[in-house]
Amino acid sequence: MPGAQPSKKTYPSLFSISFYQKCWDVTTNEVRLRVKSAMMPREDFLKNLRGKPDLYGPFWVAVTLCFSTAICGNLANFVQNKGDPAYVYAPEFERVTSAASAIFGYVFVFPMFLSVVMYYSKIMTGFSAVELLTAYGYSLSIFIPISFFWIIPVEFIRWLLVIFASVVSGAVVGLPIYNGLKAVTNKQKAYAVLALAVVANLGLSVGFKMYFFEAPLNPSGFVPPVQPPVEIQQQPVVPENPVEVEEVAPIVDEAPAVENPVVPEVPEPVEPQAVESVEESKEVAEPELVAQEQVQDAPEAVEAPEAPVEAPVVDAEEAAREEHVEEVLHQLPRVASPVQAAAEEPAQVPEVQAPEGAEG
Amino acid sequence: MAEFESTSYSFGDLSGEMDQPIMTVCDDDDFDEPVRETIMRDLRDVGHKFKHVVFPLKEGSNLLLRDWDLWGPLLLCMVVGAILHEGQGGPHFTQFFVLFWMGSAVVTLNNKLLGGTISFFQSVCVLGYCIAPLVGALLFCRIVLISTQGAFLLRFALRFVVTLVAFGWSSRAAMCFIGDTAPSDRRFLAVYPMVLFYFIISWLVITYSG
Repeated sequence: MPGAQPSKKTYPSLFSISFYQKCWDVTTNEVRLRVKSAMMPREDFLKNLRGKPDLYGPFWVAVTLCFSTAICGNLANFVQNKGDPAYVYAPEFERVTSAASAIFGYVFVFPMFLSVVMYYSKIMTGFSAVELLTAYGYSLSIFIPISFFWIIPVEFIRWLLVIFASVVSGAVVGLPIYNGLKAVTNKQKAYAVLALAVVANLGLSVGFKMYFFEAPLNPSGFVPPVQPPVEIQQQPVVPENPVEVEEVAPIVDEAPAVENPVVPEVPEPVEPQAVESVEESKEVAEPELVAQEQVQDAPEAVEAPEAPVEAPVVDAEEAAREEHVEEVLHQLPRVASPVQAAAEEPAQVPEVQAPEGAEG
Repeated sequence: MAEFESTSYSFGDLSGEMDQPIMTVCDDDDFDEPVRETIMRDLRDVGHKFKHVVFPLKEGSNLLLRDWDLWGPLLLCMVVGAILHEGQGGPHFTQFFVLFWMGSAVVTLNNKLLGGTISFFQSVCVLGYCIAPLVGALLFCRIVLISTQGAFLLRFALRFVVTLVAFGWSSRAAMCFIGDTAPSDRRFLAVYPMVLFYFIISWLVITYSG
């Protein structure tokens, strides 16, 4: 095959390396100069290219930026919530994927889109689509140091940095577009294209700031879990009929384990509160987990359906508990008002004691 | 009978003694040896390569490049993926698996596009094997997190130092093997993505919080 047609010029196929190799034909020095002129834009970036666009810069600047925003966003979160006892550190790896979508869309898809728009609007500019892509790729290089400065937890400084980054990266891309559109006769279309570019650029900077480096809504950062409903719902579950004793008694055993003597409040609000507590964060399940281990300590003579389940599936556990509580609640006809509930408390207490005495 | 089973390209006279092979190059030993031997040979090769990665010598570079295999990288990837999977907020096994293999592929492609002389699988093999110090660091971090409680700052400082050392070790080992294959005026362009790849994996190791 190599010696078949020596005179015919064959174009490299789309899947071969040599097709893309001409876009990787840069030296270290050239890349360094391009990054420098992108961080400090003084003149038309595309004139510096001298007709040699490269894809090395856009690709690796985009990848570096993905990870630098995710990492610095994570650090910023950590710095802001450090003092909060409810905050558990998590690396938030899923942010990398959303950052990647936004950045690669901006660097690779958007310039192609702009080129198509300009082509079909019959706007002739002096540069090709790949050159525009190169400009867009290098324009993001200012965001890498900016993302480190975004860790500073002062909102005013962060917004200043947003404006600064927008101006710098916008200049890298905007100057070539502006110069290219100067010769266009239809001014409306030219301004529309320029406006599109500006909006996309602003959208990217603001989007970065708001998604990765947002200050928490309340000063303490995290909403602490609501503890009381979990304890309260134990008390009214005291059985009226002895059939329930085996199932419910282990739950009731937790009552002395709980520190504050909980006065059984209205059982009707317990239901919506119980539903609420299901929707709370996982921390709510922890007192139940602690309670589970205490159930485990209760003598095995009492067959508790939840007893063998110790740690793992918290949500299913929680849902099962809620269902159980609700069905027991439905079987309590007498407790209809808080006064009645309070009045019955001393009557219930000896029943609480009795199963304990039977097991203890 | 042995002659008929082996692939012999001899043009010599096929008549003669049955038990005297004409060609000395016949690989039917592979079929005769016990399975344990075959597996042990491969395992020894993999172990040998690990040793060359952990203590990189110049003369050892031929071994990894010439006889590449992907068993070592696969093993390391699965170990790290399994450990990181249970960490909260960290990458799931699938995410790490994709990151590892796609990352190696992209770094290799980048090297080739810049005009590097290394072949695709050789480079993926080297990148995979050179993660070994970071895997050691991850195991160390896990042991530290399990065995000690409290003293957050001390534990974190220990893990940070170990991860940093492992990162430097991995990068230097990979540079030893691959660094020379890129053209001289683009060496930094070829090395930077490799360092970025190991940096990302070090980040995943240091943020692993059990």
